[in-house]
Amino acid sequence: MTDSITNQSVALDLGEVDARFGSIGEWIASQGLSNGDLMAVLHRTQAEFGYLDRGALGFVARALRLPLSRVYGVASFYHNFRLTPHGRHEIIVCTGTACHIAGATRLLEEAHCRAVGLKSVTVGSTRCLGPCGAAPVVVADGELLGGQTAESVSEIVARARHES
Amino acid sequence: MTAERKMRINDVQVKFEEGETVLACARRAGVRIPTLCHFDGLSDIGACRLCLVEVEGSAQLAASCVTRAEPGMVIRCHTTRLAEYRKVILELLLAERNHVCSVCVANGNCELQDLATEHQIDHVRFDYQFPALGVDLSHGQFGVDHNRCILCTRCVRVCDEIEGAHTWDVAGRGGTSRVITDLAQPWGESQTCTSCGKCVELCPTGALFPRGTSVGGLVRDRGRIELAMAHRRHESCHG
Amino acid sequence: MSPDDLDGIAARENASRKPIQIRCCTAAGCLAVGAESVRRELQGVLEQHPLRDQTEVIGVGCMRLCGFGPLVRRDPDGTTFAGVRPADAPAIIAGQGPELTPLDMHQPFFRNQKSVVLANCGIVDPERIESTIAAGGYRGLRDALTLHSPAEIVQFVTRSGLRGRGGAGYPTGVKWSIVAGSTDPNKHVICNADEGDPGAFKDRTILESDPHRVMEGMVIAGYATGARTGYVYVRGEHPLVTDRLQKAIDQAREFGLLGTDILGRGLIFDIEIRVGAGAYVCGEETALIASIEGGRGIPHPRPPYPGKVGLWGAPTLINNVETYANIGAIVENGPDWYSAIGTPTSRGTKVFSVAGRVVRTGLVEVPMGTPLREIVEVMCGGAPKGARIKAVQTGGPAGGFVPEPLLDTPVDYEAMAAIGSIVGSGGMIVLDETTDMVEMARFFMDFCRDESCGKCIPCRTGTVQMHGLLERIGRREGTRADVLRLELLADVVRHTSLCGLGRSAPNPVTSSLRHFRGDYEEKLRGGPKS
Repeated sequence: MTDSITNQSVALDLGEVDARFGSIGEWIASQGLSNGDLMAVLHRTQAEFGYLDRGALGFVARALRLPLSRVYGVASFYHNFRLTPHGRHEIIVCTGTACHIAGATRLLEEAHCRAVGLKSVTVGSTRCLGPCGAAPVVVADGELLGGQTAESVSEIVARARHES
Repeated sequence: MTAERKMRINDVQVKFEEGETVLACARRAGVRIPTLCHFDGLSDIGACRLCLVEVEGSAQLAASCVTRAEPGMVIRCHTTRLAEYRKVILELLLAERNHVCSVCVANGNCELQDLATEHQIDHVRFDYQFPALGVDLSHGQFGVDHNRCILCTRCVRVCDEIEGAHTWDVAGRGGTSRVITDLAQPWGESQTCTSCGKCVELCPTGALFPRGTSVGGLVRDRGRIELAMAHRRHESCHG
Repeated sequence: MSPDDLDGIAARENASRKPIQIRCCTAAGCLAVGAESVRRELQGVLEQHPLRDQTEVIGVGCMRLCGFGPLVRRDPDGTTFAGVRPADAPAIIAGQGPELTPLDMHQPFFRNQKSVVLANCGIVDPERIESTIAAGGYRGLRDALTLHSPAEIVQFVTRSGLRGRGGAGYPTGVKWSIVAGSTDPNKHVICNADEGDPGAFKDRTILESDPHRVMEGMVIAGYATGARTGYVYVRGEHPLVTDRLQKAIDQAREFGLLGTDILGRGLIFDIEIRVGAGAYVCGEETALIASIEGGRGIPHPRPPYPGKVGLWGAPTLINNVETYANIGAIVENGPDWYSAIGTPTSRGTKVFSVAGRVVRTGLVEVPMGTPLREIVEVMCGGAPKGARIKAVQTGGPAGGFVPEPLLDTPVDYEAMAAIGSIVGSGGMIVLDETTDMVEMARFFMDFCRDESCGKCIPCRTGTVQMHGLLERIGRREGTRADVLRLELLADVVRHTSLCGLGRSAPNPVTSSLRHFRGDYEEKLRGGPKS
C-alpha cells in the first residue's frame, strides 16, 4: 500500500482561478446550484477541464461555499474523479467478474505494457460496465468494445499512439 | 401509558433519560465500555466498533455510542465474544500503520496503547502493513504523523463542530484514507487553520502533537477544550 | 392531459406503425459488439429499398440473449437474428437470405421466461414515450390515480408480497407504509440504480430498455407515500442509462406524467437524476443518501432508517430499480395476481443477469422459486465446450458460491440464505471446473478492499488483511494457521462492520471455505491434510 494522497503546496491566485473557471461559475449561478450539488459540479468541471486540479477544487469550494478539505475529500473519494491530468487517449479495461474470468487481467497488463512512457495514452480499469455478454470489454476513448484480446488491445494502443 | 425508562446493562438496572445512548447509561452505571472514536461533546459516528455490545433479542451487535436506550433493553458489554472481537479490532489497528510505542511521542499517554494493555494484547496475529506515510512539520506549532493516525476523525469533528473551521477532513477511501488539511496542503499553508490546537488535544494517539515534543513527552491538557465543549452543549440546550 | 388521453396516444401510435417493423437492440451489450452500425446500415438500406413504405427500423432495448448480439428481430412474425453484421441488412429487410439463420425462439431460454418487469424490453423504443404508452405504459399509474386511494396502493404493495430486489429482500410494503405513515410534509422517493455488483447488469438493462416502467413505479410511490420529489441515483459508469433516462424524464414532463398536475389529477411529483462517480459502497442506502447530499459516500449507522430520517433528514423511500419496475403491473393487475407467482415467502418474478462460463449469456426473468439449475443449465445451456459447472456465484461480492450439487436450490430469499449465498441484486456468474475458488475469493476480496469506504476499522483493515492471506495461500505459501486467521477475520468483519458492505464482504471467503475447502487445502504449504 502506498500513500496515494500526498501533500502539495498550493498557491491559489484567486483572480487567475476565477478567470480560468468562470464558465463553471456562470453555470452554477444559472442553475441556482447549492452545496448539495457538489457531485454534479465536480462532474461538470471534470468534463470541461479533463481533470480536477487543486485550483479547480478551490474554485468549486468557494463557489459553493464549502470547506476546502470537504471538497477535496469528496473528489478523492470517488474513483471516477481524476485529480491528475490524463492523456489525450484513454483506454479503460473492465475488470468485472465476467471480464475477469474472460482474461481481463491479461488485457490490462498488455495495455499497461504497450502504453509505458506514452504521455498521450492513459490506461485504467473499472469495476464492471455491464455488457457482460461481450466480455472481456474495453472502453477506448468512450467507445465500448466487446470480445477483446491481447492483440486487439495492443492495436488500440498503437492506434492511439499514432494519432497523437 | 409509557413504559418506565429502565434497562439492564451487565445485570445492573439503569434508569435513563429520553434520547440517552447506551454508552452514556453504561458510563453512569459504572460499566466501562472501551471507545476510540467517541468523545464527549462531539457527534458520534459509530466507526471504531470497540463499543459494540450485545442487545438481547437482536442478532446484530450494536454500537453503544449511537444506540438509543429503550425501556426493557437488556445489554451485555463484556462477553467472551465481545472481548475477542475488540482484541482483533485493536490488533488490526496496530497492524495497519506504524504503532511502535517506544519511538512515539505519545508513549505513556496514548489511548490506543492503553486499550492494547487493557485487552492484554502481547502480540499481533496479522501482518504489519507499515505503509510509508509522511510526517508534516510545516505548521509552526504542531505536527502530524500519518503513520500514527487511526482515522478516528476526532480532529475532523472538533475542527468542524467546535472550532467551526473545518480545516480537517478525510481524503481517499478504504485503506488509503488519510486526514488532510484544506486541499491536502501542508498544514502550515492552511488558510483556514486557526492554530487553536483542539485537534491536537483530542488526538487519541501520537498522530497530532505539539512540535518539539520528544519520545514519550506528549502531555495533553483536555481541561481547556472540555470547557469549550461544555459551554457549547449548554448553549445548544438553552440556546 | 387527462387519464383518457393515454388511450388516444396509444391508438395514434399503433395506427402510425408500419406493417413490418425491424427491431434492432440498442442496449449496451449489443452496442459493445457493433449494434449501432447495424442499425445505421438497416436505416440506410431501407431508404432505397422497395419495401420502404411498409417497413420501419426501431431501436429497442434488450432482447435478452446478450452473448449473441447484435440482435435484430423482424416483426410481426418475430423472426430473430443473432450476431448480425451490417452486411446482413438487405437480407433482413427482405425477410430472407441464405446467410441468415433465425434463432429458435422456442428454446427454453425464451420459452421458460415469465415477463413482468421485462415485458416491454426489446419491444418499445426507450427513447419515445409514445411507444411505451402504446405498449400499456402508465396504465398502472392511471389506475392508481383514478381508482385507488394512496392507502390502498400501500395495501396493494404489501399484499402482493413484493420484497426488495436490490439484494436484502426487505418487504417493500413495510417500507412504503413507514414513509406513508409519516406526517412530515417533506418526503422523498429514491430509486437506487447504483448497480455495482461486478457481473450484474439487470438494472442497467431495465433502465436502458424501458425507463418509463421504473419512473411509473416511482410516481405511484410518490402518490402512495405523499412524496413530491424523486431521485434516481445512476452509476457514473452507465452514461447510456443517464441519457435515456433524461430523455424519458423530459418526455414524461411534456406529456404531463411528471410535474405539478399529473394526469390532470393534481398530483405533484418530479424526478431528477443524480450521477455517481465510481463508489460501490453508494449502493448502500445511507451512503447513497450521503452521496446525493454531495458528500463522501459513507454509510451511517441505522437506526434511524431512511424511512424515518433520510435524504436531507426527511422520510425517504428508497427502493431498487427492479422493485419500482414491478409496481405498475401490481396496481394494474392486482396484488393477488402478483402473489400467485413465485413461492410462499418470495413472490413474483426475479430478473437475473447470467454471465461467466456459460453458453447463453443474457437476461432471464423467471418466477421466484425456479431452481438455479433450470436457469443456468436448461435455459442458459450450462458451461461451454461440454465443461462441467463447478459453481454459480450469486449476489456479487456480498454473495456466495453455490456448488454444482446444490444447483437444485430454488431462487428464493430463504433457500439461498440457507446454503450460504443470497439472491442478491440478480447477478449470476457461472464458473466451470477449471475455476480456482481461492482465486475467485481473492478477486472479490480485492474488490471489497478497494471499495471499502474506510470509515469503520474492521472493514477498512480486515479486508486488506484477508486479501493478503488469500494472496499468500494463492501463491502456495500459506499455512493452516493462515486459514484459521482467515476464518477469524471473516467472523469479526461480518459481525462488527458498520454497514452491509463490510458485513457481507467475508461471504465469498466463508462460502468458498464451506463448499470448496479442498481448493484451499491443496494449496497449503505441506500439502493437504492426509
